[in-house]
Order: sequence, then structure tokens, then C-alpha cells
Amino acid sequence: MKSMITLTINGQRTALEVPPSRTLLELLKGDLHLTGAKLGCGIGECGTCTVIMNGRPVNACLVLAVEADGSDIRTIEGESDGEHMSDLQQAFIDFGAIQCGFCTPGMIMSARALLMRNRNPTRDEIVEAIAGNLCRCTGYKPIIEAIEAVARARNEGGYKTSEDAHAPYVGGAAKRIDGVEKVTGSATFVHDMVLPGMLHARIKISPCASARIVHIDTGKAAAMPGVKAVLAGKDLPYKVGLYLQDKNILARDHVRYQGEMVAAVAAETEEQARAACDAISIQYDVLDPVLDVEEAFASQSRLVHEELGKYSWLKGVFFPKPGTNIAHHQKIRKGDVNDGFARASLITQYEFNNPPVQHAPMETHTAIAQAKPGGMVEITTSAQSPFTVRNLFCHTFGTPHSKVRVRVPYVGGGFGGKAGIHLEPLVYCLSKAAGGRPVKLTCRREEEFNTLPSRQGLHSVVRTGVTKDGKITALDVRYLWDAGAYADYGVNIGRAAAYSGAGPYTIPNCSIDSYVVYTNKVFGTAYRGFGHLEVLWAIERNMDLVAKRLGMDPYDFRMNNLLRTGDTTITGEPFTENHGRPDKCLEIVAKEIGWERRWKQPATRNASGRKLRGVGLAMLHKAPAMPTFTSCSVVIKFNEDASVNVLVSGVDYGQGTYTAFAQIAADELKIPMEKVHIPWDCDTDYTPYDWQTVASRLTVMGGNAIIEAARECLNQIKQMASHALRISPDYLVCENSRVHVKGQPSKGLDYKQLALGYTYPDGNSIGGPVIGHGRCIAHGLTHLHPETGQGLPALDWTYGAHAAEIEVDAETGFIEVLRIVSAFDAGKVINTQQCRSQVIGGVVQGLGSALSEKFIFDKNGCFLNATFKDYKIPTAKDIPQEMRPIFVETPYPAGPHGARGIAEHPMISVPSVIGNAFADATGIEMFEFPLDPETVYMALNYSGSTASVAGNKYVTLETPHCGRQGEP
Amino acid sequence: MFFQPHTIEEALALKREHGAAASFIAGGTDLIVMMNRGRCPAKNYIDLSHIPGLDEIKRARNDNPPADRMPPGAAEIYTAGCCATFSRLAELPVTCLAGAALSVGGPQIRNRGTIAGNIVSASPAGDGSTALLSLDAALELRNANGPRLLSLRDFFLDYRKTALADDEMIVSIRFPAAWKSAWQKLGKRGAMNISMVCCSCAVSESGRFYAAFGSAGPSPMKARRTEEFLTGAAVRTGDGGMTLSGKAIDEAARIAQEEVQPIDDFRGGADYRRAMAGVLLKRALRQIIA
Repeated sequence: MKSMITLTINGQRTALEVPPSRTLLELLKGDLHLTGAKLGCGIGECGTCTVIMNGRPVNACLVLAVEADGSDIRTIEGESDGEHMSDLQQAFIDFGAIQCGFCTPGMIMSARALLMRNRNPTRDEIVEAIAGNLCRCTGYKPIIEAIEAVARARNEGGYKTSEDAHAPYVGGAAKRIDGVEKVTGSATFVHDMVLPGMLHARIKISPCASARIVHIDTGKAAAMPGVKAVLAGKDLPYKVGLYLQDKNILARDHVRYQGEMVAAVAAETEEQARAACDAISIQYDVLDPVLDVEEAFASQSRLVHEELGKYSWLKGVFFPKPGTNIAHHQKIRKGDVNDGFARASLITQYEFNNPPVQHAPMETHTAIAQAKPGGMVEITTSAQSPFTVRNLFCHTFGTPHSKVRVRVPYVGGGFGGKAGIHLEPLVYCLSKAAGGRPVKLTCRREEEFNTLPSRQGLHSVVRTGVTKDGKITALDVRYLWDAGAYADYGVNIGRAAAYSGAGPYTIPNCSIDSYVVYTNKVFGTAYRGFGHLEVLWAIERNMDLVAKRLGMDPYDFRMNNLLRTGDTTITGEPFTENHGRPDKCLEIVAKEIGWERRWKQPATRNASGRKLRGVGLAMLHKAPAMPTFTSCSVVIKFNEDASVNVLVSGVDYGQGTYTAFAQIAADELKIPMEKVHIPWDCDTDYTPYDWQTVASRLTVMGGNAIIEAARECLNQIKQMASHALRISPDYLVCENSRVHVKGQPSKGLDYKQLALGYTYPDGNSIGGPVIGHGRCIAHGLTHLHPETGQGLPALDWTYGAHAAEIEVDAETGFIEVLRIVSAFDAGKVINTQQCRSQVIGGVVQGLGSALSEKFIFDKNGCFLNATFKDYKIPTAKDIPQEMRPIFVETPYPAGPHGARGIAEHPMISVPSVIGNAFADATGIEMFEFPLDPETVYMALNYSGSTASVAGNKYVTLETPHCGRQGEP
Repeated sequence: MFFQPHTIEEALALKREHGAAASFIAGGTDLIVMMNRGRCPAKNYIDLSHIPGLDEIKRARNDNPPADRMPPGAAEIYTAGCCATFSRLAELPVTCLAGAALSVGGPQIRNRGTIAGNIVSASPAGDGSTALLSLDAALELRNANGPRLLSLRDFFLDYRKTALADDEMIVSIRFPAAWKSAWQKLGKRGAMNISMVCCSCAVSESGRFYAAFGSAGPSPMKARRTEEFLTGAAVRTGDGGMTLSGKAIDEAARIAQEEVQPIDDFRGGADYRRAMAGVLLKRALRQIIA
């Protein structure tokens, strides 16, 4: 049964025939091809689908088209003509209120609806208006600022755009080059894509954490209407994996976590595929799951992977232990810890925990694949690393690399969760089984949580030896990573977190054992600053605990032990003046938060005694974790008008790298930034090799490659010009899109005259189209010694520090973060606005981990809070009153303009700084996050007893504030 | 089947025909969530969005004949149509209900979600229901044979069970327009929360106290003993308002903590919810007597 409805959409009346079950969102995207509104959750919890209906914002995913009959609908496509941006669109661009762009259309619609009803909204009203729109990238602050600017300007003749940046661009605040596409909703994500003849896939996932698959009956599903392919594990004899090939495309024989993909269907419509999935019957022999990481670590009988020894892995780098649940063991040994402890006057031991959490990008994982005739494969995917997808794909299927094409268009956030390979092999197999028609699989939000990887949990035991005057003599750490069912990135996290695992301190005697342990939970992968937020929870909480036991100010204790020029790291790397200044970062944040004054006075309470205030400090560091041979390449090609296209394969999924690239290219080529075009699609058929978009390495390595490519272009320009001008190229200089003789600007040629080669007045031509390539490889890295972990693991370290002030509501346990100050030694800030946005976004993401986010499993290992309703990421109402990013610039000589990576770092140590501030406010030491209201309340009311809530253990130290009196 | 009646009579005729196999749909913020998740909450839907006037809210003197004068303690009442949205309710000068409405979801949900939807879903965490319980609200129910009035306190029977018959709909909700009231809710973050616990309090013109809690039992619950205690302990002030001593507030919180029956689940522990019921009640009472 279909109904006729009439809608006025962006001012145009449209009559349509729709079935009653169709949502307004499906109608807009599917029938009307208005793809600006996005599907982020399907349950009204994220706001990415927001449109304005009869003057009010609504979730288009929760309105049936028939209910909207007669309504006036306004979508992002009606916000401007695409040529002239609306005030809100322009302000979003100007204020850096955009990152990945997936939430942007909905966010602008909510803001527009507010401004339609309220001429002078207050900041609180703005925050309330966007509180139903989740954003995982920006930390909301730039968005609020943009809306505020438009609202203010309304009474002053309307919003005027800010000036564009001028050369030199590096070090300035150039606006995002992808701004217009994202604010108009015209940026096309894989989510939005439909190919001719495309089938839709759905997956069937395991309801139990550990089971033997006794029988799968797909017969009924295969016979259902519209079904073109049904697959189960037995059909797919392939192993996949990033570093350790331990995973099946669909579970075979065993399921190892609740949520694991067991079967899949491709059908003409998504509803048909879903119905067919429901009709697949699977018989499980349920086993007792291995859930506790310590038990898994110790057990040799209850194994998640019986066949670990038969898998293939990257030898010499990873060391799985067949016959156990240990997927990797990384050792670090420096000096002699026994000797170090013998020389200590105080030895402490503390244990810390953190739970698995999720990236929660606004765009869930999605991929389209087509198995074409002749063995060609085309994949379009929301992934971070097209070449790694291709490489792992070819490794699994034995396909020649030249026959596989991987395209990555706009990506709606990743944060590490879209690194490596995930849905692509399955979608390809479905396409092959369906006779080569393209197949699309888009994970629903619940599948994103249940099926796709998370950040691993971690259990840490930290033993520290210190002298009376506060020098660390020994550190002995055991990290147990709760890797979940498959290794994926987890083994590399266990490795990287070990060589970073002592924090940015000089430790003369150090022993670290980092074990990556399989359990029957959803598997772990890279998540922003992988491994570092986790180990620095332990290390930075430990620094405060030890300082207090010594009776020292935690600031002084850190200063005493920070790495300085002349020291060596725990892997034997000499710390030089080029490494940056962790001490300066700490000094700055402590000063900004008023540490000296605050630490010496007792924690403050408000008049009623119900609100407790405290301050905290935390250090952080991270280097890109990468194979020793990590490389990338860039091609710059000149167009007829001397504009350039810069071809890269590192993905800008919101972090802003392409804008930095455009700045670097424009400065190097001496052309205006608007002449630099970076095609957004990465395409392994056309764009040059790049390893992966991870580890905060892209601006550094890609930036270097761009400089090299630009210089090659300039050489070609000078070569041609030297012939035309009859002068040695040594006497030529380039500026303002021209090459000319030094000191004689009029004697020269425009780039335009040389872009395709030079033609003499008589018609004779020389040279050819200008095209340059640049490369960058990680020089000089070594594998870590298998027994000692000594070696050079990483290119550049970025150091930083946070200071925070919080207020704890002692009656409810609710924590409000008043202020966070963050300092990073960025080497060189390429783009001030982008760097600020990265910090604010990262800090707010870190606050999610610190205060509200965690996976909750039942006793059978089933994931209970796998929706946006129950997995709480921060909203616009959850951001601190004040966030201050500060940058130190100690150049990294091997980086472009001296720059280091900083994209991941802002999130690291945010839980640590909150934990430290909490102890200051309350006198209670927390050993596990998140510090959600219930956990905090229970700790405030039951600490000192042996009570434990949600697995969190807490104690009140006998002398919680001994540091205050300055007595040992 | 999806029906789109244009009058209440048509809607009720359809409901009589299909009974439990049909569900009314208005804002859809519960039902469409289920549909999007591939679950089919009902075989048939009766869409109320094309019946004019169901979203209206009217204020009037409560001067119906005594049998029909509900809630009995209110001199002036609002009558909200079943399809009144949370956004509309958030604009009313009824502190607890406006506060509850404003604490539901984000603006998008509040613009669609309706008060009757909140009531019939009988969610233990229903914010609107909790506020209305503390206002001693009454429901006008109707089937094809005619209307009946039912106090909201008699509506919730058990977990997700209500007194609504299969052939009935909630046509409107009546609640006092001028009682002093307060709203308190605790979630895990600043917005878009399901209540960990919520508490609504109100005091009638005659000085009777009402208190209700959400997420504190199998359905939104009235705290009868707490209400009795508060009504007895309250003292009338010179300006005609009511006040409570600090001791009385503490005692009320203690009674409420005994009275609530929260459960332990992954959203929160019973001990914490019980403790918070007391904290929120105290905060609400302090607001009322301020």
C-alpha cells in the first residue's frame, strides 16, 4: 500500500508516492537524492539526520514520510545556492567548526532552527539547541563560537566573513579547504553512495561470547525474495589480520565474541537482506567464555585460539605464545631493576584498570565492493588507509595488487577505528557470490559497537623505587592488555605502549612486560593515541601517588624526573635538544592553572560544603608507532593555468591534514593557496602510495614529501626558464607564481607560460608539463631487541601536559570540569586554527573516556550498552567552561618546517589529569576510570571499606594530602 | 496496515476493529526506533497526526461537576491534547512538567515526542509521566462507546502494564495550572539522558504535597508515604505559601529512600538510585519552599 503525499522541500512543492514504512530520511536520501542529512544511529540519539520541519528541528530518521504529509521541510541543501554561503555556513568555515563533516549538516540545521525562532539567543540557548546533535571531532566549542558570531552579527548588519589567509601560509590560520563541501552537505561519504545495480548486505552476528557452531542452515534465507547471495564461514576459507592472521571473514567453527559476524546476505533491498538474515538458523554449542584478562593470561587450558601456533604473523616484531592466550609479549629491559630497587628509599606498588571504550565516529563503517570480470576488484570504503586495505586484501585472497582498486572518499571520522581492514573482504565475497554485482554493507550503530573493534581494556601493575629526594631509581611494570578475540592492531599497541610505557621520564632501571591477551570480548584496535591514554592513566596517576607518599609536590616530583637533553629513553634512545621540551609544557600548564597557589591550599568547598574543587596535572608523550619501513609519496602536477593538483593517499578524515598540505605546497611553490587543489578521493589506481593514515604521522611525513615534490616542480620550471631566458638556473628565483632573474623581477616568466612546457615565439617548444614527486621514508628505525626492547622505535616524539580544575558534587558524584589547560611541543604549528581545534576536540573526547564512556558486559560476555542511548559520548552540554590550548615550538629538524604530529595527543592523559584533580578535591584515589557519577558517589561514601562498585577499587590513602604541608 | 484517520471517531472505530493488533502512532519517537531496529511493534498503525486539535493545550477553571472535577485539588487546570509535544509542554508555567519536558532527549526529540506517547509507553524512566504523577494528573480515555476519566495514579499497573483497554486511546491529560512544583533529574551526562533517577514534587493550593519518582520502580511511582509525611509536616507561611523545616526535609528524604524500589541494572545500581532519590527530593523540596 502506498500513499500520495505532498511536501514542500526547500521551497519546492513535491508530490510523491510512498510506502507507509518509509522514513523522511529515507525519502530525502533515497527518493530525492538530498544526501546532506546523514544516518548516524537510527534511534534519534545523534542528530546527524536533523532537518527543519514546519520551523522546528526533527530527526528525519524518526519521522515517517506519511506523517510529514503537507509539511514544509528545510534541509542543508536549502541553506544556500551552493555559490554564496549562508551566514551559518560561512561562520562554520571561519571558526573551524568542521572536522570530518558528517555531523555538520544536521548541526547547521539545528542552529538555523534556533535562529529562526530566536533573534538573540544566549550561549546557553545555543548549547541547548545543539545538545541533540553529537559531534565526535570538534569538542563543540568552535561550533558554539560560530553560531554565537552569527547571532551577534544579526544586530550589526549581518555576519561578515573573516579575511582569508595570506602567504606565507605555514604558521597562519588558513581556513579548511574542504569547508564548502562540508557545510553545504555536498561532501559525499560512502554512506551516501549508491552504484548502479548495487545490492544491500546485512550481517548476522553471534549472540554469545564463546561457542562452537554446530550447524548453520542458510537454505530458507537463500530462497527468499530478492536474495542474491548468502554466505557463512564455511564458504570463506581465508584468514585476515593486520599483523597476525588470526581472524576469519565470517566465523568458522567457533565464535569468539558476542557480535562476531557469522553469516551475511546480499539482496536487492536492505529489508530483504535483513529478513533473510533473520531466516538463517544457527545452532550453537555455548561454551564458558574467557572474560577476565588475568585469568586468560594465566590459563593454558582455556584458550581463545587453540591454533595460535598455526597462524602467520610478522616475525621478528611480534612474539605470540602458542599454547597460551598471549598474542604478543613485548619486553623492555634497561639497567638493572633489582639494583634500582635496592637503592630506593621508598618502594610503592599500585594497580590500575581501564575499560574498553569505542571510537564512535559519527559515520559507521561502510564499504562497497564489486568483483568484476577478469579478476578486477573495486572497493569504495570508509577507511583510513586505502593502500593498507589493498595490501591486506591482496594478502588474504592472493590477488595481484594491480587488479585491486581501493577508493576512499570523505570519511566521517575514524580515530583509528577505520585503520586496517574490516568489512571489505566480506563485501567483496558477497559481490563475487552475487555474480559480480556491487554490494554495499553499512554497519548499523549497534553493529558498530558489537561487531567492530574498540579500544582495549588494560590492567597495569606499577612498582616504583624512589630516593628520598624524589628521583626514580627503578620502575617495574606489567601491562595486561585485554585484546578481545582477535589481535588486529592490539599487538602493535602492546608493543608501542611498552616502549612508551614509563612516561616521559628518565628511568635508569626499567623493566616492562606488556602482554597482549586474548579474551572472548569484542576485539581491540588503534584508538587515538593508541595505548598511551591507557598506560599514562597508570603512569600519571602513579606519579601523583608516589609524590604524595614522598610528601612531595607532584609538580616537583615530575620536574625532578622528566627527560632532558643528555638523558636516554627506556629503549636507549638519546634525548636531544631536538626532542622538544616536556618540562616547558609542564611549567606552562602549571602556571596557567595557578598550581603553586592551589596545591598549597586545602581543597576548596563551596558554602554548603557539597561542591569540592581540586586541581591536577598530567604529562603525556607519544611517537608514531609504525613499521621501520613506513613510507609515503606525493605527486604534484601543474594544470594549464598553473594551478596544481596535489595527489596524496593519506586520508583527511577530519583532522585537517589536507589544509596543512595545501599551505605547505603553496608556500613552497610560491603560489596562492586557492591555486592548490587536493582531490578528496584517495584512489590506489591514481594516487601515489601512502602506508596508513594513523599515528599523527601524516602532516610530518606527507609534508616532507610535498616539499620534495614541490622542489622538483620548481627545478623543472627553472630548467625551462633558464633556456628561455638564456641564464643559468642558479640565477633564477621563484615568487608570486613567477620565475625570474635574481634582482630583476621584470625579467622572467609566469608559471602559466611554463606549466605545460615552454613555447618560443616561433612555435618551437621545450620541456613539458610540470609534474613533481616527493617521497618520505622513516629513516634509521630499528626493530626492538626481542629480549631487551632496546632500539630506535619511532621517528619523532611529541610531548605535552594537561592541567585541570574540577568541581565534584559530593551529593550526586557528578564531576564538572571547570578548566583544562593543555600544552604541546608541536615543533611548528602549521595551522593555528586546526591545531586549536584538534586540541579542543581531543580533550573533549578524552573527557568522554574520563567521565562517562565504558563497555558494560554481563557475566556471559554480552555487551549491554551497545547503543548511543546507553554508551554516553559527550554532548555540547558536557564541555568544560574553559579549554586553553598552548603550543611550544621547539623545531623537529626532520619535520616539515620543524613540525611534529599532534592529532592524537590532546586525548592522551585527560583521564589522568581528571583522576589527579579528583584526588586533590576529595582525598580519594581512583584506580579505574570512568569517574561516572555513581562510581564517584560510591567512592565518596564507601571508601576505606572494601566495597567496590562496577569493578572499581578505590582507597583513601592514610595521609592523602601530606604534600600540602611539605613534610616527607 | 497504516491508517490515517482524520477524526477521533474514525481512529476509535479502527482501534475497536483491530484491538491489540493496532498501535496508535503520533510522534513516533518510540515506535519508529523499534521499526528502524527491524522490530515490528504492531501489525497495524493508526496515525494520529492528521487529526486536527490533538496537540492543543488549553487552560480553564476546574469547574466541572464534582464527579468530573479532576484533578480534584486544582482550581485551574490545563488540558493537554494527547499529541502535545514536549516542546510545547516545556513552555508551560508548570515548573515540574516544563522541567521534565525540557530534560527529554534533544530539541529534535522534544519536537516530535508526545505526552500521551510518554504515558502509554509506561517506561519506568518516563520523565513526563513522573512529573504528571506529582501533579495528580487525570487522563481522559475514550473508546468508541465514549469517554472515561482516570487518575494517572491508577493508570500504571506494573512494568510496562497500564489500565488502558485495547480499544481505548488517551485523548487528553488534565493537570493543575497553578501548583508550585519542582523537577530534578540525574543522568550520566549533561544532555540526552535517560533518567538514572528523577524526582518531581508539587504542592496543591490546599497545601497537600505530592512526590513522584522515575527509574525508581517498575513504573513511574508516587511516593505516598512521603507525600503524607510532607503534607503533615508542612507549615503555612504568612504569604500563604508552604514551608518545611530542614529536619522535615531530611526525614522526607529518608522516607522516600525507603519507599522507592529501584533495581540494579547496567544503567545504575539500586543503592545509588535509592540514595539519589533522597538527594533529588531534598533539592526539589528546597526549590518549592524557596
